[in-house]
Amino acid sequence: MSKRSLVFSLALAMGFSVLVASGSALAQRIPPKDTLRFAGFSVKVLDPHFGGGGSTEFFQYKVYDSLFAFDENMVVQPQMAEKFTWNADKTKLTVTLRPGLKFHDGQPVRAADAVASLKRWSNGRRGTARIFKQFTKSIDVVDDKTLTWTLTEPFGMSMEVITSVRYPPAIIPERLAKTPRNKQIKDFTGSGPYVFLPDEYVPGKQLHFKKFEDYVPRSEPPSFTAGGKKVHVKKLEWKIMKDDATRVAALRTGEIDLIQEVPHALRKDLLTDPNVVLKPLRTGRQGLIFINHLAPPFDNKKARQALLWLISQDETLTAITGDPALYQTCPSVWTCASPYATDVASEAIMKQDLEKARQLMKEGGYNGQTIQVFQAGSTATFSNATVLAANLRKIGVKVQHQAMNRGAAIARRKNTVDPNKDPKKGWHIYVQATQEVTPSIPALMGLLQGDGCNKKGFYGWTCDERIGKLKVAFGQAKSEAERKKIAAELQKVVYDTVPYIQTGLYSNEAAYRSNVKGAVRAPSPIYWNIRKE
Amino acid sequence: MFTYIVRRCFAAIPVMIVVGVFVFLLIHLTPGDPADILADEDATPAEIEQLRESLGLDKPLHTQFLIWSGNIATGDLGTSLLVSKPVTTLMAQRIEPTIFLAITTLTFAVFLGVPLGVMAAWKQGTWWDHAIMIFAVLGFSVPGFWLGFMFVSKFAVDWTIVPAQGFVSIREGFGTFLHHMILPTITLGSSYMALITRITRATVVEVLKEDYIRTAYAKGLPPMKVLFRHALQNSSIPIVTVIGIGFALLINGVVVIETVFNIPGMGNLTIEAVLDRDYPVVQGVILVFSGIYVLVNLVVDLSYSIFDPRVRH
Repeated sequence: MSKRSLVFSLALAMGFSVLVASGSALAQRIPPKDTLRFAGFSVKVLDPHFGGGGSTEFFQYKVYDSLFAFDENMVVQPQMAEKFTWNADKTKLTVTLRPGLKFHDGQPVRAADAVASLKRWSNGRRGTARIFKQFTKSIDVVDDKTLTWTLTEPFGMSMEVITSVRYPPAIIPERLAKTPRNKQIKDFTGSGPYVFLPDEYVPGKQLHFKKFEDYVPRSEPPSFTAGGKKVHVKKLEWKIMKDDATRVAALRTGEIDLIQEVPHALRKDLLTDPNVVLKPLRTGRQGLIFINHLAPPFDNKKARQALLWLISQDETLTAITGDPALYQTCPSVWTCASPYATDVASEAIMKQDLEKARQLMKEGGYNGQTIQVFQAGSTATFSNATVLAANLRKIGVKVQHQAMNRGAAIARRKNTVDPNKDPKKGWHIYVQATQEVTPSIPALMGLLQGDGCNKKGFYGWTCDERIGKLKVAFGQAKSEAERKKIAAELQKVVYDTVPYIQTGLYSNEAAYRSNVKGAVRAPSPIYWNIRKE
Repeated sequence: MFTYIVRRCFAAIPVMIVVGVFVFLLIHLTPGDPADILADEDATPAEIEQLRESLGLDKPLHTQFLIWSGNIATGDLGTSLLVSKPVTTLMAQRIEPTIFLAITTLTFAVFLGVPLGVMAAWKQGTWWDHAIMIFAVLGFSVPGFWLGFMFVSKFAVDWTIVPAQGFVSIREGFGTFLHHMILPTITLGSSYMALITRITRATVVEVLKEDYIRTAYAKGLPPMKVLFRHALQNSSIPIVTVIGIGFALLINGVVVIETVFNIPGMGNLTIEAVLDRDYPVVQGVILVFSGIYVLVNLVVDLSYSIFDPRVRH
């Protein structure tokens, strides 16, 4: 054989072997039927009591369980608890754990674990945890299956607090719950429906879970985060994919089964794909426009109220989603899904009037300075800020809109420097978004604070003691009717003092292969009850 | 030669120190810190401050720098402030895809770029030359992320002949590995290949005008032998230099291409760490990248002696 023929044969053989390997590679990249593989965001903090964002909460729902959970009507239901009773004056809650609960290491879940977990959670940085701690006199173990929570005084929202609609208190083994709050735990033994596989964990790449065979689900059907958490797959693979287009391509080729959230701009690619289903699996989001109360012109109430007349929720939501089916305008600061939703004092937010906005801005002392608007995060907040900036320009206000990453935005929003004197550091308006369920219970709305007097307290620095008083009054109300009345009163205060403005609700759909069934909608993506056909 | 290598290795130390100081200052002067990222959205300023203290971020900058550089001197790159894992562990988990992406890209770019450049020089002024140069200009001008998405759209989504994303280790099979690397390699390698093609053409064109080439032809040597043994070998030093310099281009490209193709490598790790202000990881990764760059250039310098015996003397 000549040298040339030899080279040719070798090249041919190599090409053939690559082709053969390609066939097996194509088969290998499709997840097996008993494995649910989904594309999600990166998660930094796995410790459920430590801090972190939505991905931490998402991790938590897989690995950990909690004593109580909310159903889709926002009613608290027992989860790990078998039963619970209050004493006559509602200052002592006695909780009995369900029989058969086990941690992933095989140890039984005891009341001591729950007590230690609640104590660690209440020392954390979550807003609801702070309220829990504020009203807690003691948490005690009665016996292996029973614990008590003693309150300093009766508090009408106590069940909502101990349940916590965002970042519920995860129950972890007592040995781990003794870890100080500023130190993250490194052992992620929980008692939830999935077992975390630490050996397969690569930060920034993947987190894998397997079904917890000893998990005892409740008998009720799943509803939000409550009900039976039945797992129908052997393995759950969370693949971290940063790029939206890459996620969409991977779903279309079948390399993944599900995308948690599809950006609105990429929906069109999936709508026409017969193998893909689009459906919201997560409660919606609400755009929020925070206003700096320290800096002129927004230190004047009239200028803040001008923004209420300036904003059109419809216009903003159209810019964000591009599809009316994916949004809902809402007059209530508690969101329209809340049992406390009301339209009281909402005329300005529901009816755009640029002339009135111009007039109020003038009366509020606007003197031609450049308004610093900034935002971080998704394209949705970018669209929200862009529409706001455009409307401000329409009424003759100069605007500088800056988009930045989350780290830079968080650093800037805590800056109290006057943006009129130092426009690079200070700010007038900060645009962000929050989960639909976050503002649904007025007393627990951590983003609504009136403690900003003397440049202290929460960013935006709203200084209005009525907010704190009404939130406490709401929590202490004796009846639902009284709560609704206070919620309406508090909404009036919010529209008067304007700590922030809600710009309506919008959904991001999940996208999944058509053989994926049984997905449940919840405040955070939860993958129990889900199966592949 | 040994003395030369040792001298070059020592010369790299001041470079690494400058890089270390620069990276440390740059990341610390960027607004935002890990405590802000770690804290919950409704954490109070006091709680965030407590978290900063627990992470050691409240210490003066020079103290933090001394602690970090002291640890570096003992080979300790620190621990991620966010995921609480040693930086070396995080890098060990991510280095494999990047190394293999670099190897396949380098192979693709050199094995395609050099022959194309030689061909263009040999056929200077013909349509071969023009076609290759247009190809090279396109390769250099088209942004990698755009090219990547176009490839994914056509080859992965429409024709389903290659995967859209991901990395499979070579240990799981060479075919599967190669299958996953085809698109990222071509995407990342296109600009690198274009650079090599252009430099090769320019250098070989110059060498082809030399007297010894005319002499070789006069001796009756076949054109291919003249081209590859005499012209290309004498053009090697600028080409090898560009391959070395182009390695920096490769490092830049890795950051983008790993995101587009969801390859869990060092580029992806760098982006995450920068966005999260995970200081030890950013510092560690950039320091390692700089070290690799210095090393590659050392290898390039040493290779001169292979191509040009005069360097040895």
